[in-house]
Amino acid sequence: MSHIEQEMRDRKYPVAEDIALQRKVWRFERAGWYVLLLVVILTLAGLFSKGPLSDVHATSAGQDLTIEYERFHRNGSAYGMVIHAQGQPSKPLTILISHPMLEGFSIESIQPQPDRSMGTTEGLAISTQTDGQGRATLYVTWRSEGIGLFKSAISIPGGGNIPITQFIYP
Amino acid sequence: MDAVLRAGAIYLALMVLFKICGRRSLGELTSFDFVLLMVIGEATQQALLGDDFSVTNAVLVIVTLMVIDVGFSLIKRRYTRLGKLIDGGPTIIVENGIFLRHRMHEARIEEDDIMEAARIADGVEDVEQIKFAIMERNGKISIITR
Repeated sequence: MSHIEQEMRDRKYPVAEDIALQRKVWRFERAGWYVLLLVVILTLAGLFSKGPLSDVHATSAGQDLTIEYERFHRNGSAYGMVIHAQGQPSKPLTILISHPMLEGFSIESIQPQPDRSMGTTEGLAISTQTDGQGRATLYVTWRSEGIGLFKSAISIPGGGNIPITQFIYP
Repeated sequence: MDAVLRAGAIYLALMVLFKICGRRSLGELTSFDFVLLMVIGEATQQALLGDDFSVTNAVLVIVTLMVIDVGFSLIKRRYTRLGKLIDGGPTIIVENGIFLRHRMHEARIEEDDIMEAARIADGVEDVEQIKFAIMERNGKISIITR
């Protein structure tokens, strides 16, 4: 019997041991530490919101709509979305936020204040004024209220459409 | 409903995390460990209560935690093997004056830890004087001298 086998034999006195089980527990602790380390690294990378994995910079096919948003969220936290849109110079421009996003998130603030906002069957239509070059930028602060996966889209009626998939952790 | 879910999720998460950290991390509290425990408590508090600071919510969360805790101890009494898996069992780490080094290595215990416990408990100077050193379920090292 080797030295290590000798040592790992169950003792009955002064306490009854179950070394096989105990070694499993020790192995679990060891493996668990690596799992925790992985969680920390993934958190730094942004898997649980706020990081490179979470940041998305999406542009529509027609280049008329650009959105900066985050893919991952945690229930109850707030984040800022930036919407850049291109329309006719100095004309009103409508941006449509689809229904699922409004189910998962609530709008805390929109800057600049939209000229008009309207609830439609598809979602929320926000009208804003473009500048001399036809550009408009909206800063929206969202607070995540739902839990789970939300597939939505932000679009310009008759123009660009950006599908957005977001996940909210409990 | 969410009070129960929150308390249950936090209880499970903390149990798994403290299992991973091992017994040593809880058994012998240094002042830094104590601060760490308080910070863990602070971090947990918000997730337990959410944005509901009512007395009812606090009581519900506490009741849930107690129910889970007592429930677990009842289950552990019924199924001893599960209890051993969760709490571990006592493990001998010094036998008749000889360090069981493979065990110490796997349990992440140093000779110094054992000798410190031996000095505090029985004023032991040398490992030769120790008949058994046992790592107990609560993370403390108990010493039986010759």
